[in-house]
Amino acid sequence: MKRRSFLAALAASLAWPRRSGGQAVARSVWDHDRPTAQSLLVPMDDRQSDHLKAYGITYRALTRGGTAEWLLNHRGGSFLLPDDAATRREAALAGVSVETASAVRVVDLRGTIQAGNMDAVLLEKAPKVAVYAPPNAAPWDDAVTMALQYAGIEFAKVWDPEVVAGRLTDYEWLHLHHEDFTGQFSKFFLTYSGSPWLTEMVRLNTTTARALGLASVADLKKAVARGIRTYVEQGGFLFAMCTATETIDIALAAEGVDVAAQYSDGTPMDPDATRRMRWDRSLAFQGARLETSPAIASFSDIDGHQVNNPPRRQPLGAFQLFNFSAKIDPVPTMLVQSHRRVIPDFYGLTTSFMRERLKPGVTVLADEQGAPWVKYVHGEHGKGTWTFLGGHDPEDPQHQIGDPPTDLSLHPNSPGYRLILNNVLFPAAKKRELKT
Amino acid sequence: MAVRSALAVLLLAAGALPAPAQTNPATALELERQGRYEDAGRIYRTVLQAEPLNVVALFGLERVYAELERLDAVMPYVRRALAQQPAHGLVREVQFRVWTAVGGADSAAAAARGWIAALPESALPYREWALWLARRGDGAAARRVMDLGRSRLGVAAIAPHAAGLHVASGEWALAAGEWRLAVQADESQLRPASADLARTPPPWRDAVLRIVLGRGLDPDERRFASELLLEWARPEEAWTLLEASLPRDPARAAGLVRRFAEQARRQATPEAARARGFALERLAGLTDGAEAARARLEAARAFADAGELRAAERLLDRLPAWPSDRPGDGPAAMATFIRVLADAGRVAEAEERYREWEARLSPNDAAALRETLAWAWVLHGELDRGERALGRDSTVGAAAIFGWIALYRGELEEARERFRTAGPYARSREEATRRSRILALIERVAAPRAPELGRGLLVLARGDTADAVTTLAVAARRLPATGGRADVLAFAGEAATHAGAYALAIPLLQEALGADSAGPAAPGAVYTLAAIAAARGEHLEAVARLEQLILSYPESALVPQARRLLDQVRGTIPSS
Repeated sequence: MKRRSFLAALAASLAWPRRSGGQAVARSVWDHDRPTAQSLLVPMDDRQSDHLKAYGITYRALTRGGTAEWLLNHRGGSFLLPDDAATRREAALAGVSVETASAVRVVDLRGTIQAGNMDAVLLEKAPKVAVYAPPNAAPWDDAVTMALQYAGIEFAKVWDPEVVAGRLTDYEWLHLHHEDFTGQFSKFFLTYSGSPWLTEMVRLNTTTARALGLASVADLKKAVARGIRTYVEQGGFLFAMCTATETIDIALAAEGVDVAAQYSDGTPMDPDATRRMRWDRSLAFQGARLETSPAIASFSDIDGHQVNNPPRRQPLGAFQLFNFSAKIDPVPTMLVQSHRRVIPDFYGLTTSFMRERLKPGVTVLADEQGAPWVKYVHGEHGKGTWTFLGGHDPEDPQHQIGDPPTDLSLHPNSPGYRLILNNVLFPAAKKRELKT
Repeated sequence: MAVRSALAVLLLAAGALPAPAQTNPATALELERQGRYEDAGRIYRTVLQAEPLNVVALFGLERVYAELERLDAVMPYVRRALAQQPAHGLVREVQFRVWTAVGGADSAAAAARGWIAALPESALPYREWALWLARRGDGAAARRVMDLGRSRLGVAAIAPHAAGLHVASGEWALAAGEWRLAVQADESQLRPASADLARTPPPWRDAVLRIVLGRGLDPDERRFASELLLEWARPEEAWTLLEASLPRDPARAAGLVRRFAEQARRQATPEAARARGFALERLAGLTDGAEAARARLEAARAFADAGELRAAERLLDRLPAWPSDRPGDGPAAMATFIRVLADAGRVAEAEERYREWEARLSPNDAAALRETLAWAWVLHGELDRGERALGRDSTVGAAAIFGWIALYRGELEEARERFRTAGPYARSREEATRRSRILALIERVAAPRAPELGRGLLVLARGDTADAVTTLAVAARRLPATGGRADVLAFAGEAATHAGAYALAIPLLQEALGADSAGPAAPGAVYTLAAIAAARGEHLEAVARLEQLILSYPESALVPQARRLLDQVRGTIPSS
């Protein structure tokens, strides 16, 4: 379903009773019999003591077969859950603030939501979550993995063999570990030459490419990128951060073009690569100029901050989440639910996206005012959607290789990490079957 | 020259120029600050009409025209200045900046070549040109410019600039190679080199070190490597390298060692204190008389800070009765000497020195030393001597120590009163925390005196945990179940846990819970039992205990800590 038609259907669902048959869409609370029994309100404003675990509480309420409501723009994007012993116990153990909401209060709440720029979206089914990561990935090396583990959301790990074998259709939501889909090992090959972790990364990728009958790691990653694009086309939800955002698009646009340095595939990068790119095959970006030096850990001019390219490196500022109309644009509204509108920026190998490199139709969810780059974007491809967030770790703005892992129990109210978890719950609002 | 340094030149020069108001660059600077760039530019232009080589005004004009986005308008003034003095380095810099800002690579190259032709001995044009190219992302062209400079001025003249270029592009190994060349050619480059390479990211450091050290035979290279290791907080390795490369000339060697000791002082770690101790001890051997004695005393202090009391004592033994006759020097040094003696356990000797020097010490030093001596006696178990050392001291620090003495005698009533008088800020933060903890414990004990409890706590303070725990358990069992027994048992269990004596701790903690499962000690006992289970890898039990704590004692201050441990046991956050 295209985004417009999805939204039209969503808008329709606000006005008419539940649709029957076919692909159901996110349903408004108005579809339900009212008044409800006593509920638990999980506030997501400054009264919440652990925002991140609140997502886990909601997710697990869904896995137990219950439903939940996401009250968009209401108290920071709060949740309304059934008041049962299991949820209360989990909230107490996790330190998540909950408030008892009587039937009368819920009716009052619905009145408030109807009157303002708010909406209530029914969450029906906990999405099956996969994280694309190499089997030897350090457990604390990826913000999404950390967020999922901290919140207590179950996920599976998939990697190249599973993607190439078409196994992504087992999952409704896929996150890309900060992979370099150009097959150049994040261009750390020269800088960290001899480091054991890099040696292992090269060995693992090379072995996998050979095992799958592909000539080089660059070819392997292109095949994986195509597999992921197919997954999205068929209705999957893709979320990517850091380098994965920029490099998956480069890999997709570089079909038939050598964009990998000689150290990676044995042949130098095509000097005419920039001109030969086919951006109609990519998801989010277009017209980028590729970085041709193998010594500079940067891939193209898509990234606005260029953290590892000192002459072009830009300082960190803060980015601002857009305020969408909850009733008209529920999808972007879900993705930007937060108790803070302005969030300190954080570096990644890809930190941000130059506005001029975005394809028409891409929805900008957050940007830095006055800067030529944006931070957080969303779009549709085929029947699915993709969401890209620049940067590596919202609570470690200058993350370096070898830094200690982020302990999220010290950042339970992180607005940056909330953006990640918004993405995990977003598919729960859209019930449908994936093609297999 | 960077704009900031240009501004500094301007400020200095502005004060010296006796110009009328409308031609005073200081007035123009003020106008710049107000954002009145047109007005400021008018003054700078007037000055330059009269004095084409006034670089203060030229820099000012460059700044204001940059703000007004009319930078090319500076060029006529640059040309006039160069017509008067073609080899004026600062004017050439302005010319280069302006051309690079308003023109492209060809303009920059033309400006740089002109600059090189006018000042053929200067490395600056190569550096500025290469940096500009690198900032544009043209690293290959930047390297070609550096090669050109090398071919004309020699490797050593260009090396520091090439190193800066490599640092800017994160090529640490190449930067290290250039800096090595620069330091070999000119020892004064050592400090900028180490300052630059100090920023090397950890994964690259060993590679940089290998490059800097070469084969490790040259003393200058070893000193360079030592500087880097010290910058990277590896002080003991740094000292080993420096010591092995000290020059034969004692005065020069002493200078290097003194500098090392000063740098190591900035790192507040036991390793840095130990390295400093070694360096100062070596300094004592390189000097004589009062300076040697002072170095030895400082070395003893450093070793004491590092917890190396035997080394501190060894140095104290080598000190003369007391060295300094210089007014003002003796008392401060003696205060250090006494502190080191007390820390090293030679309390009687320290006290003797104190009595001898008391009248000459500053009131602050004297008060601090009384507390040091008193505490040292307490840790020896000599409570009476500790009390006598404090005398009639009525400071809050003394009140705290009087409180500990009363506590260890079992005089709980007096201890409570003294601790309250001391308040929460007296003495070190660590001790203040311990005091608050103990005050909370004895507030729960329903008795004015408890000599056995005092003895147990004293033994614990002296470091004999096993004996202390046994004594505390006996003391606890004499108290009413809800009148301190559970609290003292839980305290003893926690002390045993900290010492790793889990087998001793578990029954005490369980007994505490059995005595009073609803009292304030209960959450602590449950938490400690959970922590023991977690440490032993018994995760199911740890999870059960932590869940019990969170659900049964939701108001306890330990709940956030319990949640954190629960996350760690479940593997949802990294272990710390």
